[in-house]
Amino acid sequence: MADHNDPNAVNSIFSDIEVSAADVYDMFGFPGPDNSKGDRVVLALTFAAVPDTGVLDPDLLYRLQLYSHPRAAVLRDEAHDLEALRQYIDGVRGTYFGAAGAMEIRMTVDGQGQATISFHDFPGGSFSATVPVGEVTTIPTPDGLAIDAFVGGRDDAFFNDLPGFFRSINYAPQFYHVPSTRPDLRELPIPKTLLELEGNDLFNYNPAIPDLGRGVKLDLPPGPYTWTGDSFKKDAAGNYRFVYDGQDARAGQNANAIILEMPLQFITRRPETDRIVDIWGESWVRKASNKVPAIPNDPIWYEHPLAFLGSDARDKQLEGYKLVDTVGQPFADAGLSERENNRQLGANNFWLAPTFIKRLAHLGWGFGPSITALGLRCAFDTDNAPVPVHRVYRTSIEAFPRARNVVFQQLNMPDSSWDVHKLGIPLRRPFEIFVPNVCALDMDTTGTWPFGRRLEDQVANRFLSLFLDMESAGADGSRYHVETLSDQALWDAAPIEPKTSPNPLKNDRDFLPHFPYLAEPW
Amino acid sequence: MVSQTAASDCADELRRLDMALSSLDDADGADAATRRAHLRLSHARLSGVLDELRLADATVSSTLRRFPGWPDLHYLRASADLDMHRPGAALARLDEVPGLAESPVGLELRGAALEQLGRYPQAEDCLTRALAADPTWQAFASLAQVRAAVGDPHADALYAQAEDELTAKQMSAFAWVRAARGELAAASGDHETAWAHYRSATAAFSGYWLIESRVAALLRREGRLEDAAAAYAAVRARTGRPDLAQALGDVHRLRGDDDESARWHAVALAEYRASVARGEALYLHHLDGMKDDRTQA
Repeated sequence: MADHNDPNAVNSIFSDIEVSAADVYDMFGFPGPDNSKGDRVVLALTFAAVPDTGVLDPDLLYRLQLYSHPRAAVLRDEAHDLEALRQYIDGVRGTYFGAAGAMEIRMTVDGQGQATISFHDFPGGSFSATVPVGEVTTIPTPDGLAIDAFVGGRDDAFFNDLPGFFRSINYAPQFYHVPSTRPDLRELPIPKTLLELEGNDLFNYNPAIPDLGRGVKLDLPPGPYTWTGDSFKKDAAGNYRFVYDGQDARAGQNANAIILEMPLQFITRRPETDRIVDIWGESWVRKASNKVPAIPNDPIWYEHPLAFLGSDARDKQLEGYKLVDTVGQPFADAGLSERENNRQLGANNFWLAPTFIKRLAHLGWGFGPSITALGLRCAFDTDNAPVPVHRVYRTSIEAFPRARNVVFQQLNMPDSSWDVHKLGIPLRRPFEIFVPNVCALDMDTTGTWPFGRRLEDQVANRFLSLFLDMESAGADGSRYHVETLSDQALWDAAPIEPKTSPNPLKNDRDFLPHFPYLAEPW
Repeated sequence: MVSQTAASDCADELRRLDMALSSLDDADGADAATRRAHLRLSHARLSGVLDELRLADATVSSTLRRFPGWPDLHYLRASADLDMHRPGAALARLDEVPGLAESPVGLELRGAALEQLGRYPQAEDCLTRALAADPTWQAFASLAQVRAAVGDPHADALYAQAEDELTAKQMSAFAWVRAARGELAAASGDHETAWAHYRSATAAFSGYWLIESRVAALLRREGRLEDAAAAYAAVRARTGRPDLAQALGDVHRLRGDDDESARWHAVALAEYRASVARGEALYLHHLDGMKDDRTQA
C-alpha cells in the first residue's frame, strides 16, 4: 500500500538514484464483486513502470505472500498498556515469523512479453503458468478452479498529495537536492505539522516558486535547519495555511502491476472459517552472480561446506535474488519505518513495534497541535501544546503514555456498509493494523481500509485520521471516523486555506467495474 | 587515445553515461555539478583512459572550488584522490566535513585510503566499522583488499560477500570484484580458478579494460608471451596507461625482442617522468621501480 519512493535504496527522490522497477507502490486487497460462485479475492500489487509502462524488467522478481486464518477474537476488557501490546506481539509472532504457512505467488518476465506466475504451497498444490504481458488471462488451477491474471501497465491507482505529506514532515529531499553524504538532512529537525509554521521558509509554500516539490528542486540552502518560531502562519483573514493542497501528485502517471482474482477456496480449505486473508508484496532484484554462468569448483563452496547441509529446504530461486522493497499497509514503510533499507521486513516487522510507538509519538507532537488548532479533538496527548513540538523519544516506554490512545483506539467507520453481513465485526485498532505489516483483508467486509484496501480508498486521509480522537463524542454526539478528514464540510468550516481535503478524494481515472479493475494506463 | 568503439557491455555503459552527462547540460547548481563530476569520474574509471581520469580529477577540483560547501563534493574529491593515488589527501579531505569521516561511506573511503598507505590494522578497523553500520559491497571488497595485502588466505571469501551484495544492475562492479578474485587466485598460483573468474567477469561485463589487463598478466605468468603481448598492446592502445607500456616492454624482453622491449620501456619511462613532472603520484612507485631495474641491469 502507499509505498512510493521507499526504501531509500530505490528512492528516486534522491537525484543520484534512478527510478527503479524494484520500488513497489501499493498492495490492494478486496473481495471480488461477483461472489455468486463463492467468495473471490482480488490482489493487486503495483510498482514503478520501469523500464516503461507495460514493459517489465526481467531482472525483477515480484512476490506476493498470503496467509489465511480465522478472524481473531477481541478481548473487550484488555488493558491499554505496553504489557497488552507485548502480549499481542508475542501472540502473532508465531504466526508470521518465518512466514510459516504462508503461500506465495511469484512473478517474473522474460523480456519477450511473457510473464511466468508461479503459485507455491496453496492447498491445491504448487504450479506455474505463462501469461502474455498486457492481457487478461485465466489460469486453471490443478484443483479445477480458475484465476484471473493480469500483468502489465495500468494507471497508478494511488491518488495523493505527496508533496503535502512531505511538507508536513519537513522532508527535504522532496523539495531540495540533499547531499547523499548527509542522511541526517532528510527529515529535518523541524516540528511535523499539518499547518504551516510561521517562519518555516524552507517548507512553507512560496508563490515565487509554486512548483517547488512538484517537479522543481533547489539545492538545499545552508542551515540552520531548525525552527525557532512559536506560532502557526496565518493570513490576513486569520486563516491557517494548510501544508496540503489536495492535488493528486500521481495524476497522469502510470504503474506496472500484477493483478489476480482467485476463489477464496483456492487459498484455504476452510473458506467458511478462514475469513481473513493477509497479503503482502515484495520486490527482489536478481543478484549479479545469478546473471553469469555458474562457476564450478567455486572456492566459496569449499570454504562454507555447511552451506550444503539442509539444501533441500533452501529456496534455490530466491537465492539468486536480493530483497529490495516490501509493502503491506499504507505508510508503514514510508511513514513509520522512515524508509530505512533495513526495515523492509514485510509481515515480520515485530521488532519494529517499539519504533512505531516512538514514531507515532513523534508525529503526534506535530500533528496533534495542528488538529487542536483547527478545533478538532486529538487522540494524542499534547498537554494542549499551542504549536507543534519537535520531540524525539529514546524509548517506547517514554513515548507510550502520550501515544496510548493513538495506538489502542478503535477506528470508527463512517457507517455500517463495510460490515456486509452485519456480523458485528470488531473495529480495528492501529497496533493490529501495522503489526504485522500486511493488508489484512476481511472477506466479510467490503474490504475497505482497514479491513483490506479497495482502489477507491483515500488511505492517506485515513492514516491521518489515526490522530483524531475517535473515542469521545462531540457536542452533537457524533464521533470522528476514518473518513472525517475527507468531509468537505469540515474544511469549509475550518479557519484554513485552501479549504480542501488534504488529499484528492478520487483517482485521476475511474476504476473499472470488472477485472483487472485498475484503469487503463495513460 | 582510442576510445571504446567495439560493441561490448562496457561500451554500452559508457554511452549511457554520455547520455546522462548530456541530460545535465542545462542544469546548474551544486547538485547538478556534483552529478556531472561524478559521471565524468565514473566514465573515466570504466574507460580506463588515463587522460580522461586526469580531466575528471580536474573537474572534481574545479567543481569543489565553485561549491565548497557541498559535502558530496568533498567525498567525491576524496574518492578521486584515491584514483590518483593521493591517499593522504583523501584522508585530509574527509576530515574537512563534520561527520563525514565517521559516516559509513566515509569510513569505507578512509579504509581504502589507509590500505593504500599500507596502514592495514587501521584500515581494517575503519572497514569493519563501516560494515557494521552499512554492509555495502564496497566495504566488503575494500576489506578483502586489506586482507589480501596481509596474506590472509580467506580474503576471497570477503570478495564473495561483496559479490553477494551486488545486483544485476551493477554488473560492472561485479566484474571488478570478480577480476579482483581472479588476481588473488593468480597470485596464489591457482591459474585454473583465475581463468574461471576472468571468464565470468568478462561474461558479466564485456569490454572492461581492467579485466583485459588482468588477462594479459595471467598470460604472461603462463609464458604465453605472444598472446600476452597482443593483449597488453590492445589495452594499452585503448587506455594510454604507462604501466601497460612497461608491461609490454617486459613481455617483449621475455620474448627475446630487445628492440621492442627497449622501445616500450622508453615510452613508459617518459610517461612516468611526465606524470611526476605534473605533480602526480600515480606512477612514483613505478618510476622508482624502473630506475632500480635499470641500475641492476
